[in-house]
Amino acid sequence: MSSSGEMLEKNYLWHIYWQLAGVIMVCVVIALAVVSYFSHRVFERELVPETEKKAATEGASVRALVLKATSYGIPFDGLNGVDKTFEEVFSDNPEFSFAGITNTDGTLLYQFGKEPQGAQVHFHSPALLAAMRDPTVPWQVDQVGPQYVVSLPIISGAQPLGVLHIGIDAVFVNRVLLEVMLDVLVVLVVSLFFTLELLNFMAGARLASGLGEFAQQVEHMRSGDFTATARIRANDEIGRLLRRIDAAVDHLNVRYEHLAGEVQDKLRNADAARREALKPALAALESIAKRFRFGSSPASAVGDEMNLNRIRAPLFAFILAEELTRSYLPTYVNQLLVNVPGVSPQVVIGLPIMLFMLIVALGQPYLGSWSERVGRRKAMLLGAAIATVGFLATALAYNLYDLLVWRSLCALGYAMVFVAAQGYVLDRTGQTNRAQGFAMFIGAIMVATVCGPSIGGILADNIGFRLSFGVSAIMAFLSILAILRLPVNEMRPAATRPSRGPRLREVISLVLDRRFMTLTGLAAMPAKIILTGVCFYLVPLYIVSIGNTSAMAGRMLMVYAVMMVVIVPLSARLSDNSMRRDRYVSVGLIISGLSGLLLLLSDSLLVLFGVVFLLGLGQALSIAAQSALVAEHCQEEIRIYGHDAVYGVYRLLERLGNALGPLLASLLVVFWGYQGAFVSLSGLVLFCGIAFTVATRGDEWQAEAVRP
Amino acid sequence: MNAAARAGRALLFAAALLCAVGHAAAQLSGRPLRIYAITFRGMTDVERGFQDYFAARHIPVQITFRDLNRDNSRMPGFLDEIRRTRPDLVYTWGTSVTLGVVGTYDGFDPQTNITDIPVVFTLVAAPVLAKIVPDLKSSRRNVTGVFHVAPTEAQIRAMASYRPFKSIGILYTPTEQNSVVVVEEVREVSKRLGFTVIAKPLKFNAARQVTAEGAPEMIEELKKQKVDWLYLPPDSYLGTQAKSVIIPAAMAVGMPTFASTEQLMDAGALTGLISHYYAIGQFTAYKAEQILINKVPPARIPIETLTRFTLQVRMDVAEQLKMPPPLPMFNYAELIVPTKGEVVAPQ
Repeated sequence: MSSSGEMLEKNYLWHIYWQLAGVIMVCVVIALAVVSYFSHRVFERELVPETEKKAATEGASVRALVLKATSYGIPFDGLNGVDKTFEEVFSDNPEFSFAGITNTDGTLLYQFGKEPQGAQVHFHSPALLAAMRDPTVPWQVDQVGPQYVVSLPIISGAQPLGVLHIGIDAVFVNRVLLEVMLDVLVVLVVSLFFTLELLNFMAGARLASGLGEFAQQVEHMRSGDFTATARIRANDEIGRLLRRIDAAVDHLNVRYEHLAGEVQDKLRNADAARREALKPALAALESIAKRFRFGSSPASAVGDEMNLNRIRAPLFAFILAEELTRSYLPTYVNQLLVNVPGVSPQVVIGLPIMLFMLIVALGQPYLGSWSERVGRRKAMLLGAAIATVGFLATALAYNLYDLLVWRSLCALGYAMVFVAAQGYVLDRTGQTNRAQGFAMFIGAIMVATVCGPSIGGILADNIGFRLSFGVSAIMAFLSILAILRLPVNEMRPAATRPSRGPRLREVISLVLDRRFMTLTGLAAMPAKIILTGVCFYLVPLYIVSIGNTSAMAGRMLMVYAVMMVVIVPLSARLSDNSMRRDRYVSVGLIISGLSGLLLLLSDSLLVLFGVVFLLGLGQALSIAAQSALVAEHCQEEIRIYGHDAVYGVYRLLERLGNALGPLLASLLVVFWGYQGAFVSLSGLVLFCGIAFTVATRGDEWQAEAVRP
Repeated sequence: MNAAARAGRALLFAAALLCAVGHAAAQLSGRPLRIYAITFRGMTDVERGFQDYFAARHIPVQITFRDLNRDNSRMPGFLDEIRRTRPDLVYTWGTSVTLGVVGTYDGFDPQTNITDIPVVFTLVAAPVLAKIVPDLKSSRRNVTGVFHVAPTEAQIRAMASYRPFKSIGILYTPTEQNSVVVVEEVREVSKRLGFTVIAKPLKFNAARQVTAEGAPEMIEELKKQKVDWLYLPPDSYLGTQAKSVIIPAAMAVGMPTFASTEQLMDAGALTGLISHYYAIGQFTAYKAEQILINKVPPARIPIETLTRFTLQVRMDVAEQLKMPPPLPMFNYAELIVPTKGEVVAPQ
C-alpha cells in the first residue's frame, strides 16, 4: 500500500499540516498570554480598591450599630461585645485581619484580630485624627505594616466619638491574585490542548481522510484499476483533485467503451480476411482488459470507514465529561452524606468512586464481546446515553443512596464507551498500525485528563457542584452527537474469533501463578491503588479540608496529567532501547512510593504539589513498560491460556486495584488522618516496588528479558 | 441562635387568612360556634389574640370565659358545666387547667376528664413533659394545642450571648409540674454546655401553700454562691410574684434576670427569649379553626409553637445593672425603653 512517491506526498502534506498547527498554536498561546496578562493587571488594579470599598461598607454597618447603642445612652467607652461584632464581620470577610475602635485621641478601646506593626503610631497620627473629625470624609486608606487599614470616622450628630479601623491582609490579596493567575494558567494550558483537539477534529481528521482517499485512488490506478467510482468527493483541494481524476477516469472509461464498441462493430461487419487483419487489434484490446480494469466499481468500497481519527473527538468529549468531576466529586459526596450505621463517613465518601471503578473493572471483559455483537457505534451510543442520564441525575441527586445508583449508571456508560471505542480501534487496525491506533486512543484520553479536573474544579467553585455535573451531562450529550457522525458500517476483521471475558478457571490459575502475580500484584495493582487512592480520593478531599478550593484540587490533578502526557511518550521510547523494562517499573514504583512520604516533611501545598509531581513521574515511567512486561515474561502462561485470557485477567486485576484505591485510602484516613493516609499508601507502594525489584532480580527474569 | 431570637410574627396566619376564607363563609350562615374557655389567673393577651383572630376572620364565636383563679377546687364545677352545656370546643389556659380538663395521656379518667369534646390548650410550657400529650406530632386523642416557651437550649444560648456565664440560679414552684420539668431540662442542657445549675424551690407556708416568703433570702444566697444569672422559668406562681418580690430582690443584689415568658419580661426582667402572648392566642385560634371549620380531628393536628421568638431587652434595667447588651444584639433585639413607654422594634 506504500509507494515511495505517495508516502512523500503524504508526509509533505502532513508536514505542512503540523507546521500550520504549530503556527496556530503559537498564535493562540501568544494571544492568550497577552489577554491573561492584561486581565490580570486589570484585576490587580481593581481588586485592592474593591476590597477597601467592601471594608468601608462593612465598617459603616458596625459604625451604625455603635451609634445605635450610644443613642440608647450606652457610653462610647462602655460598649459591650464589640469584639463579637467584629468576629461576625470577620467570619464573612476572610480578607480582614484586624479591626479596632479608638477614641478621638487615638487610644484603642476595642480590638479584634492581629494588630499590624506600627498601628499605634498610625492611630495617633494627628493628620488622621484631624481627618476623622471631619464628617465629610467618608473613609481613608493607609498601608500600615502588612495591612491596608481603612479608617472611618464615628460621629454622633456633630460630636466626633472616635475612629473605626479595619485592616485588610495584603497577603490575602496577594493570594487571591495568585489564585486568579493559576486559574488563568490552567485555562491557558487547557485552551492549548483544546485547540489541538479541535484542530485535529476539524482539519487533521479531514486531511487524513482526504489524503487516505487520494492515496487509495492513486493505488487503484497504479494497480490498473480504472473503474469509475460513484463516491461523493469533499469540496476541498484534495476533493477537487480527486474529482478531476474521477473525470479523467470517466473519460478513459468512455474511450475504452468506445474503442471496444468500435472493434466489436468492425468485427461484426467484416469478412474473414478483414477479421484476420483485425486480430492484432482484438489482442491488444484483450491485453488492455487484462492489465486494466474498467467499468464502475461496487459502491461500498472501503473508504472513510477505515478512518481511525474519527473516534478521537467523541472519545475525548465523553472522557472529558467524567474527568470534569474528578476534582470535586468526593467533596460533593461529602455534602450528600447520610449516616450509614457502622461505617465511617470517610469510607462512605469513597464508596461512589469505588463502586464506579468496580463496575468498570468487572464490566469491561463482558462488554467487549457485547459491543462486538451489537456493533461498536451502537454500543458507544447506548453507553454515552446512559452516562448522560447518569450525570444529569447525579446533578439532581437527593442523597448518597440515589447518588450511588446514578454514579453506577455513569460507570456502566463509561465502561461501554471505553470498551466499544477500544474495539473500534481494534477493528480498524492490523499488527502494523495497532500501536499507532492505541497511541491515538490514549492521546485523546490523556488530553481529557489534563483538561477535565482543572476546568471541573474552576466550574465547581464558581457555579457549584450540581451545575458542574450538568456541564458533564452536556459534554456527554455532545459526545452522543459526535458518535452519531461515526460511520454506520461496522468493520469486522474476518479472521478474528469473537473475544470473550476471562473464565473463572483462568483467573484462579493465573492468580496462583507466581510469575504472573509478581507483575500484577506487586506492580500493576499497587500502581492503580495509589493512583485512584491519592488522585481521586485523597487529593480532592485533603485540599478542601485544609481550606482550599476545588479549583486547587483540579490544578493538582492537572499536574499529574501533564506529567503523564509529557513523560509517557518519552519513557515508552526509552524503555524500548536503553534499559530493561522491569527496571523502569521498579524505578517508577519506588518514585511513586516515595511521593507520599514527602508529607512527613510538611503539609504545605507546595509539598502536596511535589507529591503529585513525583506520583505522576513514577506512574509515567512505569506505565508503558508494565503491560509489555506481561507479554515479555509470561510467554509460558500465554502459551497455555492464550493471549486474550492472560491480558484479560491482567486488566481485570489492574482495574480491581482502581476500585481498591479509594477504599484503602479511606480506611487509612479513618485511622491515621489525611497525612497518615498519604504516607502509608505510599509506604505500601514503596514496599511493593522494592519487593518487585528483588523478585525480578533472578536469572529467570534476566534470561527472558533478553528476548526482543 | 440569631434566627430564633430575631423578632418574628407568625406569618402562618396571613396564609391561613387567605386560604380558608371559603370555609369560614360557609359557617357564617349557621349558629355561632360555642367555645368554653377556662383561664388560670384571669384574662391575658392570649385571650385577646384568640378572640381577635375569629373577629378578623369573620367567624362568629360565642366564648364563655371561666377563671380558675389558681384554685383547683373550682375545676369539678367547670367540668360539670361543660358536660351540661356541651360546647363545640374547650379552650384551656396553662398546664394546670389543661391537666384538670383532659388529664394525662396515660392516666386520664373518662368519668371526670373531658374526652368527647375537642380541647385546645394554650400557654402550656412543656406539653410532653407534663404528659398532656405523648409527643408533639399528635395527642392521639381529642386534644391539640399550642406551647409558648422557646426551646430551653435556645434560651440558655441567648443568655450566654448576652453575657457568658458559668453558673445560673433558678427559683421555681415545686408544685407546678411545668416548672419542675423545665428545671430538669436546664440541668440536661447544663451537662452538654458545661455550666452549673443551682435550683431552689419556693417554700410552703403553714397552710401548705407555696409562698414567696423567703425568696429574697434565697436570691441573696444564690448571689453568694456566685451565680451569674437568675433564670425565671415558665412558672405561673413565680410569674405573679416576679414584679413585686423576685425581680426587685435580684436587682438589689445586682443579679441579671432572664425571662422565659412575656409575662415575666413585663414584670421587669433584664432580658428574655419569649413569644408574644397575643400571637400565641392567635395561633391557638388558628388551631381551633382547624377543628371547628375545617373539621380536622384534633389528633391529626400537631402541637406547635410559633416558629420565631423575640429577644427582648429592658434598657433601663440594663443601665441599672451596668450591663449593656452586646453590640450585635442591637441588630435583632426588641429594646424596651419604659420611660417613654415604648417598644423599639428592630429594623
